[in-house]
Amino acid sequence: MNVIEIENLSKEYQTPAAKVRAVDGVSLRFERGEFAAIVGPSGSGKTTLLNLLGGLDQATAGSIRIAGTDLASLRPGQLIDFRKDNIGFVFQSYNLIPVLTALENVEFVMQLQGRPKAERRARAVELLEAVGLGERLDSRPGQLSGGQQQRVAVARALASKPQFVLADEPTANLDSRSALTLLEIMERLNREEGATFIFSTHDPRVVAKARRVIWLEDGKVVSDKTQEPTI
Amino acid sequence: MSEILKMAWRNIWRNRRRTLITASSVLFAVFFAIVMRSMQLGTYSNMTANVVGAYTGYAQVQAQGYWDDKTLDNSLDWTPQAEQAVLAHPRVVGLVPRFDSFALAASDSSSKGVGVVGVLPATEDSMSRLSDKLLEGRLPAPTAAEVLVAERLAVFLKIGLGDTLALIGMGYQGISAVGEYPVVGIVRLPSPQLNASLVYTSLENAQELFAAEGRLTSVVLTLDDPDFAEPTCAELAASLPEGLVALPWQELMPELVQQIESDQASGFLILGILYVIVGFGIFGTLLMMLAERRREMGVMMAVGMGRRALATMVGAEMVLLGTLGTLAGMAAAFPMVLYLHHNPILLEGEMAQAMLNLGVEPIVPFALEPGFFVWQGLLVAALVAVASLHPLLSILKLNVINALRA
Repeated sequence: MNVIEIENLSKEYQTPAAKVRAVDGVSLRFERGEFAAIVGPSGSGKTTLLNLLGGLDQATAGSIRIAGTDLASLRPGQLIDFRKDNIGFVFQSYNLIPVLTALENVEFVMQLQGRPKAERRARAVELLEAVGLGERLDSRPGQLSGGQQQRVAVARALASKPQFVLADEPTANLDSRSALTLLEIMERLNREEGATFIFSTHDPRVVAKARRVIWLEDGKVVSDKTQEPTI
Repeated sequence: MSEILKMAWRNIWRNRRRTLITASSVLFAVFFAIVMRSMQLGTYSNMTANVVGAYTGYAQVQAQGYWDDKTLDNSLDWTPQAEQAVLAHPRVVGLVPRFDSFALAASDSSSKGVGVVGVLPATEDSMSRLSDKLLEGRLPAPTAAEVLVAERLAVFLKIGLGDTLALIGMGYQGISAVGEYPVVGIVRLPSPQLNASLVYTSLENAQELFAAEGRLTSVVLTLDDPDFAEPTCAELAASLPEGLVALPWQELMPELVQQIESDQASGFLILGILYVIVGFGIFGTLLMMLAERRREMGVMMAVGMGRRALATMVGAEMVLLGTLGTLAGMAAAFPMVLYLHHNPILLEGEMAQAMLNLGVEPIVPFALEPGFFVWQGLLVAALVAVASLHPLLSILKLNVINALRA
C-alpha cells in the first residue's frame, strides 16, 4: 500500500540572480515500512524535497498525497495538525527544545496531540529505552552528546506513531560510531514501529544501510533503486 | 496550558542575566511610580486638608449667586427645613454656620480693609482647629461682642490683647455697620492672605453688627469622607430648598484644583517617560528572545505546535516577566510607603517657609491606597501587551522554512 504518492512535483525559488528550480518534476511512490535514502550532491534538492514532503514548504507544481490526503488541499492549521499526527522529523542539528528534558522532548508531540499524561510518559520512556537513553530521561539537551541528542530526536520523531519519518542528513554532525549506532536504531525502529523512514544524505554509511536509494541531481530523480543493505 | 506555562517559565530563565535586567527595569519603574504617586497623592491630600479643610470646608451651602457676588443681599435665610434637608444626607455629619462680610478695621494708629467672620466658636473650632493656632488669648465667647484677630493683621494695626478694634462697614440692605470690640485673642492662620486680613467674632455679634439677624452667608458641611464632596453636593441639589446651592471645594477653590491638576500632569509626564523607557526595554528583550529562538520556534511548528500556541507561550513569558518585576517593585515600595505614610518627611528651612506661606503644613506625607498599587500592575500589564504586540504578530506570521533556516 502506498503511503506517499508524489506526482510531477516542482519547486522554484526566485533568487536575486535568477529563478532556481530546486525540485524539477519529481514523481515517486513510497510504501509503508520503507527505509529509503535520498542521495545527491549539495544543492541537488534533497532538503527541499523533504520539506515539501513534510508539508513545511509549498510546491510550485505537482502534488503530494499522503495516505490519500492531498497536502495542497489542507489549510495552514490543518497542515500543522496533519504533520503532528502523521509525520516525524529528525533534523541535521538535532533541534531539541533546550528547556525540556529528554523525556519531555519526546513527550512534547504527544502532548500537542492531547494524549493522556500516563500514556505519553509510558511511550516516551519506551522509546528512549529503545534508543539506549533509558538512563538519561531527565537530562536536558545541553547535558547530552550530539549522538545522544540525535537519538532523542529519533525517539521524538516516532513518539506520535507517525506514518513516516523524514530525516534531513541525520548523521551529518555525528562521528562514525555515533552515526552507526543511530542508523542501527533507526533501522530497528523502522522494523519494529513499521513507520516509513525517508532520509536525505550524502553519507555513504547511511546509503549502505538503506533498502532503497533515490539519486537526485539538479532537482531531478536520476536513479531509484532498491538494494540489500551492505553494512 | 500548564505545560505552556512550564515552558514559558523555563524559557525566561534561559538567559538569567537578561531576565534579571528586564525584571529589574520593571521593578524600578514600579517602585518609583508607586513612591512618587504616593508622595503626590499624600501632598495633594495634605494641601487640600490644610487649605480647604481648615477654612473653606469640603462643601458649602450658599444662597444662589453668593459665590459670584459676595454681598449680604445674597446671604441666605437658614431655615429648619434647609437644615433638615442637608442633615438627611448620609454623608453629612455636621454643619458649621458662618457669616462673612467685609469692613474697615481701625485701631488707634492704623486702618485696613478686613474680612469679618462670624462663627459659632466651638463648632468652628472643631473644623478649623482655631484653638490650635492661637498665639495668645482665647476664642470669642459664643455670643459675646469680642474679636479674635489674625496675627499679621494685629501687627499691622499695632493692637494686642485687651485693645479695642473698630469695625466700620455696610450691613444688610445698606444699613451702616459700626462697632467697637475688645481683642480677646491673636491667631496665626496658615494662609498668609488670611493671616493678614481676618477678624473672627461670634456669629450673633456679626449678625448684629451687619444688621442681618438670623441670616448666614454660608454653611460649611462636614462630610464623613471628603472624597465624596462632589457627588454629595450633586445629590443635595435635589433636596435643598429653592434658592440654595451646595458647592464642593473644587468649585469653591478652582485655583487649588488647577494647581493639583498641573502638578499631576507633570507627574504623569515623568511616569509616562519612565514607562516608555521600560516599554522599550521589554520590547528589546522580546526581539532578542525571538531572534535567538527563531529556529527553535520553526522546529516546534514543524513538529505540530500551532502559531497561536507558540504566541501564547511567548506571551506567557512576557506576562511572567512583567509580573515578576511588578510584584518585586510593589514588595520593595510597600514598606517604604508604609513607613513614610506613618512618618512623613518634615521639611525645614526655606522649603518649609515656602509651604507655610502657601498655608500648608511643611511636611511631605505619603498616601497609602491599594488603588495605585493595582493601577501600577495594570499599567505594566498594558505596557507588556503593547510591547508584545509586534513580536507576537511576527510569530503569528512565522514562516516555518525561514525559521528553520535561521
